[in-house]
Amino acid sequence: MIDFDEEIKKFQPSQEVDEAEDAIYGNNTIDVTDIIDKIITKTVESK
Amino acid sequence: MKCYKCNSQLDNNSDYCLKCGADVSVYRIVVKASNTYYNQGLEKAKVRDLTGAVESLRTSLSINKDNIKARNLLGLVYFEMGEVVMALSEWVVSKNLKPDRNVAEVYIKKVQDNPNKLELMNQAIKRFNISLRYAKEGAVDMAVIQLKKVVTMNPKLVKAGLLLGLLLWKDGQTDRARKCFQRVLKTDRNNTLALRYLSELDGSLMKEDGDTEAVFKKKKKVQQPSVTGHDVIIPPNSYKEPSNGIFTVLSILLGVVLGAALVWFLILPSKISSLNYDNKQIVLDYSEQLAANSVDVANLKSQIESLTKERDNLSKQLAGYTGENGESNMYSLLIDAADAYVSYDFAQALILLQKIDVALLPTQTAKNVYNTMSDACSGGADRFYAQGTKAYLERDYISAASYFEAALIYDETNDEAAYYLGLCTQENDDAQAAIAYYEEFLTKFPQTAFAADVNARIAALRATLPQETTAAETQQNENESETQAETTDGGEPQGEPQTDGNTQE
Repeated sequence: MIDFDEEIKKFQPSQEVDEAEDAIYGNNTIDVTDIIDKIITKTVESK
Repeated sequence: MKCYKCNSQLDNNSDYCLKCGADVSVYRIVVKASNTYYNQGLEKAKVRDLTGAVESLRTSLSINKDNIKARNLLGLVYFEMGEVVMALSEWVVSKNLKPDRNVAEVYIKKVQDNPNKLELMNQAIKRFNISLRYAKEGAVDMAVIQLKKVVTMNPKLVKAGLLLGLLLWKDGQTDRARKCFQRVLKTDRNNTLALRYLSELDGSLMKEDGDTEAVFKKKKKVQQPSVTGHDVIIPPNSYKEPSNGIFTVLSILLGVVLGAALVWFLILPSKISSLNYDNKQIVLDYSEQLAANSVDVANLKSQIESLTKERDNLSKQLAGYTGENGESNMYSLLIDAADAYVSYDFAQALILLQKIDVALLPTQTAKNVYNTMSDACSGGADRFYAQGTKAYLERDYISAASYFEAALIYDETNDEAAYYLGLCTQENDDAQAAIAYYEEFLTKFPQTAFAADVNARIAALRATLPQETTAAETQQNENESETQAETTDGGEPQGEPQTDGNTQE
């Protein structure tokens, strides 16, 4: 059975156009490449 | 592929960047993995599995943020799901990562060029947020009202459809809830929540294969849903953009043809009839004028005829007065005859009296004068001959000539009268005239007894005629020279008066 309240809680509000600027700036631009690069950098630094 | 550090082109056969020397072997694997997830997302998006496409594309971007294609596709999927801001966010980031030759710029421009639709979608999102708040607060009815508007404004907003279906389901309106979930599945075929809600709605869990068949079966079943009183039937928007301008041109041509036909069959006949009426009126007016003119012409013709008759009558009357047989002419002849009678020119008087019509003489006095003269001049040729002879013997050659002329008027064949008239002429006139008369006498009376005598007289007259001429000319020249000499001296001319040639003998 479905718990409506729980299901309703899962719904999140959508961003409006006024919030587009914040959405663009908050876009996560870190990817695996950056992670690997950081790992390699730390490894090299630790050595 | 480009180096992640120096952005230079990498060699496919080398694991190191030829420019900066960075180790790109792992980078190559990462890029490949990102592309793999991008391909998965693309395949899912093609079959409208938007939820699955979002997951794959997000994974692709989490592996490689520089995967521009994945980011652009993700924006498209968000836009299709009604998440406008998230779509714009991905496109803006994509454009910043790759400013040149990026399709994200086209997507952004299309959105900006349609501000009405953007505003409509924004309003839909705002209403959705409001309705979500209502739903969380427990105001289900208010939330449902708002969500219905949201679904009308943006039917592709997946979250709104799911929430509406959920609330309707909670309210016990399972059919309408099913419709909502099915509408969501039209946009996002494999939306997890929608599938789950539907399965729960039917009251059983389905397998992967059976899910699809059940979904299709349910789809077949609901193709003829029952309509309740609570159903709100939203008519589909049947407006379609014309594919090309041919239909527009054909419509215009059809309208022109219909307009022309209307004018031809409705307006033109009335116009023609009014013109005909006007023309008939004009014809009637001209006919009336023509008739009036005809009457005037007839009247004028009759006037002309009467005036012509009157003129003729007056002309006749005038001729009666002034013509040859008119009164004035008769008077003139009478006076001339009286004058000739008084001058003893009875021949002339007789001639004139013969021209007079006594009936035309207006007064009795004139008639008496006519009768008197006529009686006096009557008697015929013998009387005038006797009187002429008497006057000749009395040497009154002038009167004798008149009498003889009168006798000849009565009797032209009286050669004696003509002969004695010739003698009178010889006595009264010069030789030239006498010769001419005698020759005329001989012409009229060639067999007369007086012919010899007349010829002798002619000869005698001709014999005297040249001498008389020479002497006359010499005398005339002498007189002219004397006249010129006296004039130069200043004296008066003293030449003797010239007499006839007979004196020279």
